[in-house]
Amino acid sequence: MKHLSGLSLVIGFILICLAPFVAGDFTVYLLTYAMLMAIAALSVNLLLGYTGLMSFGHGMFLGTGAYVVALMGKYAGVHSLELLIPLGVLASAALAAIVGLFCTRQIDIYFSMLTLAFGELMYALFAKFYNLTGGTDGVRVTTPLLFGQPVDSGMPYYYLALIFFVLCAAAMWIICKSPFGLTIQAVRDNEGRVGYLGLLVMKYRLIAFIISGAFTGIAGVLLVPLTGHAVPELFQTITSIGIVLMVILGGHRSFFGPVVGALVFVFLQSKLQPLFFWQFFLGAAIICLVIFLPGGVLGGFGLWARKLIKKSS
Amino acid sequence: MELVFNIFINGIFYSSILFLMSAGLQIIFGVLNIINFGHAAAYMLGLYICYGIIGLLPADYPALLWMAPIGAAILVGLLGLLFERGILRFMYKRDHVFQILVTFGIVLMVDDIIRFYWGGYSIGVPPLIDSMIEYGNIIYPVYNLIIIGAAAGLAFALWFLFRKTDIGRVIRATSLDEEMTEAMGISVMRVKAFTFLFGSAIAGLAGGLMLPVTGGWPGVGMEYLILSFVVIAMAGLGSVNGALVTALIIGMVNSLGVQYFPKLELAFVFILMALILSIKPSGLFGTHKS
Amino acid sequence: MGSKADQEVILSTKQVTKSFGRLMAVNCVDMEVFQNEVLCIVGSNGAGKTTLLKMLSGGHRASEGQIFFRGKNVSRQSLIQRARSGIIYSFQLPALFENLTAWDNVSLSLLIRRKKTLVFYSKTSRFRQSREEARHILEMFNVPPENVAASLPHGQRKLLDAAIAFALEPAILLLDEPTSGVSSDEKCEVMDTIMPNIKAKGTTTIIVEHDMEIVARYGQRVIVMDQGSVLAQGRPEAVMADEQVRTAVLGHSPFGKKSGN
Repeated sequence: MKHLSGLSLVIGFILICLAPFVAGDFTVYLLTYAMLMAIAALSVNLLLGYTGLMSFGHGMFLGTGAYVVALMGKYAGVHSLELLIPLGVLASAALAAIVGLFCTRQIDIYFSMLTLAFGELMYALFAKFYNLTGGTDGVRVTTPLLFGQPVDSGMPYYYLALIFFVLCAAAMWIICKSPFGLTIQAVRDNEGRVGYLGLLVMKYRLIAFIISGAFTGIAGVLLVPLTGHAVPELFQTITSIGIVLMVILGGHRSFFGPVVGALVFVFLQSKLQPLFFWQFFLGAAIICLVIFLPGGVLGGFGLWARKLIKKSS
Repeated sequence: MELVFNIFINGIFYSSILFLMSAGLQIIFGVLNIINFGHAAAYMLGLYICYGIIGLLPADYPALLWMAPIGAAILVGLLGLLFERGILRFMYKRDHVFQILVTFGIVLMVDDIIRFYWGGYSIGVPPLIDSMIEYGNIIYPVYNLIIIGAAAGLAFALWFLFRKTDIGRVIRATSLDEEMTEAMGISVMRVKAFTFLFGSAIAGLAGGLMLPVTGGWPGVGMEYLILSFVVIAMAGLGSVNGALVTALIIGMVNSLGVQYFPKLELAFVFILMALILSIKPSGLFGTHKS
Repeated sequence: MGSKADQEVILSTKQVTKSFGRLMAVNCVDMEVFQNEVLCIVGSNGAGKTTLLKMLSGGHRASEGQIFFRGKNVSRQSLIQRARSGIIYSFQLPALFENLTAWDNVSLSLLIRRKKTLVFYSKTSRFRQSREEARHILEMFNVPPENVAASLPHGQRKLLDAAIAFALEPAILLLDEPTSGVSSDEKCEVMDTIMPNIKAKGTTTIIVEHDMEIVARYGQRVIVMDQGSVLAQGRPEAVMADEQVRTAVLGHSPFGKKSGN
């Protein structure tokens, strides 16, 4: 079982590395998009799968990262990513700290509702202060620079996204396996007992929330040069729920589930969105998935593989 | 004086809508222990079904128009029942977060159904009564007063239902202890189904009544749902009385915000919520531990 | 009294009381716990044993009276503050981290003890040390380390719960009915696994128990509770000879007077 997942990981990684040489422009665009969303999905799963908190407001960190790029470009003329990424991380971590101070005191549905409410508040603020933010039209973003060189869309940007995806995934993997990762899983499983052992549960939730927000911020920073626009819809619930759906789709019980979920989601979306009924399908997919495949694609695959191994042995 | 009155009455009006929405959410949470995002769909369906019924009614009898919101409420209640029996009841043993996802799924589906059936543009109808109350410099539409009246009526009806009738006692018993209620020979399943029907119908009524005021567009329910979340989070989950009080508070804060800081009215509501929740995480009337 | 005069009092209560509405679960209890002793609290169901223990740990706030730990009044301290100063409670119904392995369950305690829960990197020597020590503790408690907590049988769950608490090296270990729910044959097995570790470390321990046999075998001193108050205390043999105690704890017949629920 362990060999199987390790092998599929390696094969998947090689495929992703070689993809731009065989795939068309649009597919490369979608793959880039999917990898950035996968960063966001992994960070959401750091909360959902590891800390046991379902955030319905992670769009706000995506939006924060995006608007850091857009507004810094528009008002300060800053286009270099080596400056924008730390700024995006700082801004979204700061927002996460403030929002988290209120949300992480709550558990369960309260947490979900509050994160959702804060996301909508951010949306309302960015949509209403149109003098500064361009309102619902958003802000255009130009080609970013890395070490003074422009990173063109297409293959160069694809590899940039890939590098950041690998870095972020590795960082989150290390965090999940670390003492802190163990502690948040303990909080997820039995927060009462964690208190009896002398730890302040809220502190660990808050830190997990800030880490998660910061990583989502990176995804936001890298997302806008790709789409060319920072729009307030990024803050909205539909974006946040989309990320949650990627996590559930891939399977929140495994570390790499969200990555698979993001890929599947982005490609399904690109096929279905031109149809009139995209939201309808999305809603139906959520319901069917939650009822029939609670472990997600990877969970379902794992179950199937285990059955197959049992049969053959 | 006139301004003060306007701020006050607008606040009350806004509170009424919030209460109509959040009361249903609270009742459903009390019994089913589910935060029902589907309430946004119920509101939206109520609004559009009301629009549909008005289109069908003969124009010569304005009194008949009142059948539209009531008919919408009944239909939405039945659709809610269908959703509860068809989908939601399979979710009762699952994690809260997955229950939420399912109810959100239905919102997305209803959104698209409405777009398909009624188109993606805004709709609107004239008020069912277009007379105004005039008193000195103050002019206020009678129709808005009727909505306020409906909310007040609902508050009274709920009080009566829960405190004075057997149905209300059964509902309260179910929300306190399901197993005990079941052991007393009451079908908890039926109570849940009825509660969901009832809660959805209230949201449908709210939507139907709001049609002439705001008009409608796909996605209109979400805005009110999110504010209702703020109401119930501040009130404490499950408390209908709390919803009434917080709806009034938020309505007033919002009305003041709209008047003096038109871009920040939402921010004020949220800051208020944040303050209250940081002092009392379970909400003003809440009892849960956190 | 079974204690020696030269022994230091580590924890004591003064008139400590807990009422739930009208019900007096614990009523004006004075008790002392000496360094390194194993103290048993016995009593029938509803005598107030668990409530007393939870008040000591901070899980319940005392309604009245004071609790002194190392001479300091800790009555107003929170659960977390008391846990940090070394008063650790182990649950009657095992409260485990169900999706984690037994090894992870105990590792957490060691990380907490070493204040390493805010470390974000696992390849440190400290982490490896903690992991090895956790494995060692699990061996001592006879729990298979690689199994997920949820999959363990009840007896091992009880042991794991005790191991989690023990791994924190508590100043006082509060064991709430370590043998409850375990079949009578296995009771001694569970105790024989736990007690040598406690003895070896010299951990001050309070055990709540209603099985007199266990108390007689493992306790150095006994406090008998009945209806929220202390009925008797002293050496196990002496206390158990008392007819009043036998009535309160065992009851003469199944239809005899029972206290509480």
